[in-house]
Amino acid sequence: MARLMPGDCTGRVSSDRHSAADRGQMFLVVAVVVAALLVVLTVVLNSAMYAGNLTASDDGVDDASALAYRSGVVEGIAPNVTHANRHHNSSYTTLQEAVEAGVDVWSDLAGQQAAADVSGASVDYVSSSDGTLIDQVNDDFFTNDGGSPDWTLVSSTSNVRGFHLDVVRSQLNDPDPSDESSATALANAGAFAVTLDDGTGLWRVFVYQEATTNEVVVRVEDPSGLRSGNCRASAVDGRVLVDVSNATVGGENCPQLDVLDDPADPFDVRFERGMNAAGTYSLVTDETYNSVIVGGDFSNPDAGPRASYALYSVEVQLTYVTPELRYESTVEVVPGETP
Amino acid sequence: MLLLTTIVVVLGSTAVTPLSASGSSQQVESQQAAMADGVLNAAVANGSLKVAVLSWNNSTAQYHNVTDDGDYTAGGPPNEFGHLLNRTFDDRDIAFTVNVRYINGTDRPLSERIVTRPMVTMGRPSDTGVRAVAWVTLYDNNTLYAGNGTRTNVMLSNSTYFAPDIDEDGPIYNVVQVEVIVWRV
Repeated sequence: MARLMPGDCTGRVSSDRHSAADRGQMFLVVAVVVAALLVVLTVVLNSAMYAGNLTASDDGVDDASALAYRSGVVEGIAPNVTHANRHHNSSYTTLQEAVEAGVDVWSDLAGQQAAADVSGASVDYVSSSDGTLIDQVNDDFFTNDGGSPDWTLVSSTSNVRGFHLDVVRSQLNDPDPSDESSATALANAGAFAVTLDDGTGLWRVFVYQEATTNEVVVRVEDPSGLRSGNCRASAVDGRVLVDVSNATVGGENCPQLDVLDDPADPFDVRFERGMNAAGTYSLVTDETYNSVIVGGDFSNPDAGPRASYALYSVEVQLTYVTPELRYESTVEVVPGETP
Repeated sequence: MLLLTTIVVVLGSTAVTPLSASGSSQQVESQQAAMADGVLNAAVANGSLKVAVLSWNNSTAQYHNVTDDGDYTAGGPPNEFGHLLNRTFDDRDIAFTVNVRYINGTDRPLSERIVTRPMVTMGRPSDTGVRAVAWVTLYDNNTLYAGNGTRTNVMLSNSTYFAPDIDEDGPIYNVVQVEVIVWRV
């Protein structure tokens, strides 16, 4: 019979116990580790979602209202400049005073309107750009004061805005279809043209009619030749509005007419064959009055072309303050141009 | 036992964050605010907001084709601005209110100075409604617009328009704010 040694018993029992205990301990440890991992995973997921929430949420600062005020300033002050150019244009000083007063009035009224939402909203006049309004307000041929059909409205200008011509259809040249094939042919046939010349290239806006269809036709030439396609509009009460600044003819879009930004600065604006067009027109240039009237093309206030003091643009400083935000900006207000 | 407890705790905490009402609706509100701003900016840029504000029937002294209460209830007004509002919001089950806030007189007490006149009322905005504003300046020589969007020759200074001329010596007629409030129905 095998002799049972105390050690043997102990060894066998303890290894059993050890292995059982070991298994139990390992199981416990693994369980704790898994539990810890799960908790860590939850914490990480939670923080990721919270961070995502934070970035997507509104920070409570109402910057949209500040920008809306800025748009309001430009839209609200531009007609003030146009009004001053027509009613307070005896000198650049009276113009600036009128616009400055108008800005103050607008600032005060808008401030009252905004009082419920903001701590303060105001606009101040900073400066203005002296220019000239060139126009013909009574129907006449597009010749200069002396009757010359080819003349320069303004030389060496950098900017022209609000340029439109309201033409009387029946007074326009009516070329043969064969003459519409090239710029030279159109010119030789007698079609009136507005010419932009920057010294290296010419842009011509030909304006003529097609009597059989009662339409005014606009065809544009640039340094590479005639642009393809023309723009036509039926005369209403015998007239059609050719808006060079907004590139529309008779109110419809005319992409070929988008020319004012093409010549390099400075450029000249001329009328060619002005005896073959009649009606009214208007433009504002940033050239000063004294340099525009040098050519002697303007005078009589009721007939023919005239030049008057005008502001091309105005610079204002706006301030918009709420408990969360202070917004200051200098804005250039140019009537007729969307900022 | 420990593992079971841990699992219970973990499941309990993950349930909280992503589906909470405040989290998801905040993103929706930001989106709606951006849409309202976008509509107003577009309408200001193309001039249709000013036309809508001036689309006033001089003989009835109301907006064109409006309900007896003086506002539109079935959507935006019958002009380009109204079409833009409808296109942007109707298809998305978002209702909107459009108000015109005008200055009623500069010498009145502050509480009476700004008057809000509804243009579109499609119900009562919920608590989660968002608001966007745009400015429109009216000048004495601005003219009213007809129901078909064409300009009439009725000048503001000589009309039945609801807002008064608050700058009688100068060319400004009134400075109004158009506010658009949107909410999900």
